[in-house]
This record gives sequence, C-alpha cells and structure tokens, in this order.
Amino acid sequence: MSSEPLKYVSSPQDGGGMPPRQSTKKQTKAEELIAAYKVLAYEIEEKGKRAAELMIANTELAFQNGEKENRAAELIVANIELAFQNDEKGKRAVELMIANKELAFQNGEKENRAAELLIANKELAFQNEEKEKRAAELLIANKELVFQNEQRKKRAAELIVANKELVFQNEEKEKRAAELFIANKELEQFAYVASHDLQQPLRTVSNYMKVFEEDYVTKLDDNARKYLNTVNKATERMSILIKSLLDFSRLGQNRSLSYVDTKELINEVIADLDALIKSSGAVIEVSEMPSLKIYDSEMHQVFQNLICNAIRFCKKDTQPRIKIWAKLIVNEWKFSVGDNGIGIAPIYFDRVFDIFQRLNKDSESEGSGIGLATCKKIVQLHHGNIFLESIPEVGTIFHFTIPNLKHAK
Amino acid sequence: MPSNLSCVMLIDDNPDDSFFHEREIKKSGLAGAIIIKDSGADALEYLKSKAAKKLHPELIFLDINMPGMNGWEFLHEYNCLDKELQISSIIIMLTTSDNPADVEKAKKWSFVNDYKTKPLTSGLMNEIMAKHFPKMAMVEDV
Repeated sequence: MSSEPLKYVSSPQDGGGMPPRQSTKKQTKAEELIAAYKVLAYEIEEKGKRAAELMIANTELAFQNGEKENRAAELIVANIELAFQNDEKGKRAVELMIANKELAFQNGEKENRAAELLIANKELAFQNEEKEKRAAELLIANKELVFQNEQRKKRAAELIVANKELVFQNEEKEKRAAELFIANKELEQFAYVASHDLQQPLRTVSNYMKVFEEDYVTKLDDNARKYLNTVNKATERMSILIKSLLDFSRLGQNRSLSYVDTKELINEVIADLDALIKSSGAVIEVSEMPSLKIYDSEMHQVFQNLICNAIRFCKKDTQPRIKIWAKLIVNEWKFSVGDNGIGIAPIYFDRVFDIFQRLNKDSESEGSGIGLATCKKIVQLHHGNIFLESIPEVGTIFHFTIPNLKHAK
Repeated sequence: MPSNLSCVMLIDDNPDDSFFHEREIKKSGLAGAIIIKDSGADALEYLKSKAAKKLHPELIFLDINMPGMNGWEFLHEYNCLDKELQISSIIIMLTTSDNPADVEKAKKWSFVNDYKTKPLTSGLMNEIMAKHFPKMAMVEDV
C-alpha cells in the first residue's frame, strides 16, 4: 500500500470523478481512509489472489514434489545405472588404457617400421640410382661391344683376305723354292760334270806327258825339256783350278750345324798348318773365342784359308804376326784375323772375294785364288757377312760375322 | 824279279787311262799279269770263266763312270758271285771323282777295300801293296 497522495480515484459507481484536492481535512482524511481502505481491500484481494495462487502453487509444488520424488527415484535408478555405467566406463577406461598402450606400442612399432621403411626406401632409391648407372654403363658397354663386333668382323674379313694372300705367297714361295732347288741341282750337276769331264782329258795330257818324257828323255835337248816343263806346269795349274772349281761348287753340301768351341777349331787349323807356320816363322795369337753353333768343317776351311793367306802374303824380311779375336755385337759374333802383311789397296776390296781373283803375279804366291771366295761362300751359308780393313804395307784385318746360335732351331 | 801279285785287273772303259795305269803297274814290278777289261760285263764274264781259275786277280781296280754297267752296278753283280771268289780278291775304286758321296757309297761294300783317285802311279802301287798286301810288299824305289 502506498502512502501516496491520492490523485484521482474513480469508482465505477461514481460515474465520474470527484474534484480532487479542494476538500477539507476530514474529507481528506476520509478520502485518505477510503483510499487506504480501497488499498487494503485491494491488498486483501490481492492477498487472496495470492493465497489462491499460493494454493495453486502449493498444489503445483506438491505435484512437483511428487514429481521430484519420482524423479528422485528415477534418479536413484539412474544413479545406480550411472554407477553401473561408470563402472563399465571404468572398465572401458581401463581397457581403453590398455588399448591405448597397445596402440601407443603399435604406433611405436609403426614408427619403427616407418623409419625402417624410410631407410629401405633410401636404400632402394640408392639401388635404383645404381641400377640406372649400371644400365647406362651397360648401354655404353653394349654399344662398345657392337662396335667391337663390327671391328672383329672387319678384322676377320681382313684376316681371310690376308690368309688367302699368305696361302698364295706360300704357294709362290714353294714354287720358287722348288725352282731354286731344281736350279741348284742343275748347277751342281753342271759344275760336277764340267769339272769331272774336264779332268779326264787333262789327266790324259798330263799322263802322256809323263810317258813321253820317260820314254824320250834321252832324245830331248834343253829347250825341249823347258817346253815340256812349261806344258806340265800349265796342266798342273789347270788341274788345280778344276779341282778348286769342283770343291767350290760342292761347298756346304751335306753340312750340319754343331756346337763348336772355335778356339779348339782354330788350334786344329794351326796344327794342320804346322809345317807352313814353322817354315815361315809366323806367330799366331789367339784371344778368347766363343762356342756357338756353326758348320764345323766349313768354318775350319775359313780359318785355314785366312791364316794361310796371312802367312803367305807377308812382307819380306818381316816375321808374320797374326792375331785372331772375336767380339759379340748384339746377336752376332764378329771374328777377326789380322796380319802385318803386304796389305791390299782399297780399290780391290770388292774384288778379293771373287772367284779366281788374284792380285799378285802368279810367281809371287801359290794358291788357286779361290780361298777368299770360299770364305765368302761359307760365311754366307751361315747367313753372315765378310769384309776387310787394310793398309798397303802395313797389314790387313779380315772380319766376318756369324749369328750367335747357341740352341737348336 | 819275282812279282808279288800274280794278277791285277783293271776295269776301265778309257783306254788312255788303262794304258797309263798298266805302264805304271809294270814299272812298279809288283804284278805278274795285268788283265784289262773295258766293261763291267766283260770283267764279270772273265771272273766267272775257267780262265779265271788259273789266273785269278788278287787286286782289281774299278772305275766308276763307265757306259753300260757302271762301277756301282758291277759291285752289285760281283756281290752275287761265289763267296769264295769274292774273298779271294780285293777291289780298289780307281776313279776321277773324289766326291765324298762316292767315297761313302764305296764303303758300303765289304769287298771294296780302298778308294783312290786317278792316276794310278807306281808310287801309289807301292803304297797299296804296303797297306793291303803287307806280307807281300817289297820296298822299292821307283
């Protein structure tokens, strides 16, 4: 209730409103009291409403309480259920934890696998790179191989051509060798027959000269004897020449290689020439000499001829001094026979090795003039060379080379 | 003068050589009879004949180069004769050739005792006597 001054109160009975303020105090107070009584009535009304409301409310509340209790009961059930659920939840939670641990472990493993996979992938990537490198190399190698094969085919073709050529060459060589063999045989035969058939009539001349001399010696004067002597000398010379020619043509026939100590060989030659050496007073100095494969008896002739010449072509009133030595040059032995004789003028160096070449008058020295030609032929049989150095009136050195064969071919 | 060999035979187709050789043998005085045959065939005939029994050559000089039967062929035929006949003679090759191949060839026959090159001289005869008939050899200066 408000203690407000009443402003205007209208009731339905009034029909309109009363003049407001200009009342007396009693009126005012009555009014006030009416007002207050109105208010109170209102308030009681209100309170009554309120009480009614309250009753409703209480009913509602009771209902609500009833409901609440229902709810509470339900809640209890629900709580039990909840507790159960919580229990379950708890179990589920535990299981979940285990599962989570398991998951964590699995994840850990997965990460390991992932890490391993990463490494494996890196390795694979590396391998692939290597494979690609190998593939690239292989490609190059294959190209190279193809090229090589082509080359080989070319070479093979060339080889076939070369072989055909070689076969042809060999056939030609064999033909030449056969021709050479025949030519040599013919030559040998010619030389033999010529010498042999020449010897016969020569011998007849010589023999009958003897017969003539023996039977008619008493009837011959000095001149006759001189003439006969000349004839005899000439036939003798002819006989020597023919024999020399025959021997020369036979040089090297049936020769055979053998391992020879050339010092021993030379000593044998010196022994053979003993008489000549002693009569000439010659001194022969032989150095260290090698052993090698040579044609024994043929080389014997070489040294014999060279030493003989060295002694024969000596200076007058000078003791012949002869030196023999050898030197190994790469794979050849160079033998040397030096003397202090009359020497040979350089313009004759080529001619001395010709057959029957003699640079001195017949009377000055014996010999068929075939000694050096023989040496040359024999040295050539050995596939060597013969040459000389000389200073007239000082001396001469003959050199010849022989391949150093030590082992069987 | 007593001779050492009763008979020497020369087998050579060249009469000039035979003439000379006969002369030389006579000069040496080392043989009684000298029989000359100019072919191997004739020589064989003689050796097989009755005459040979009376006069058999102890020494035979054989040439190599002869027309018809040459020295080698003669030796083949001689080899077929009686062994008794063979050993009663010695054969010496007397030839122009001094070819080593021929010397070797001659060595193959046991009844060929020597190999000489022509000409045969009295000096050579003496050598031969001393070498092959030592008991009969007489030293003689010719």
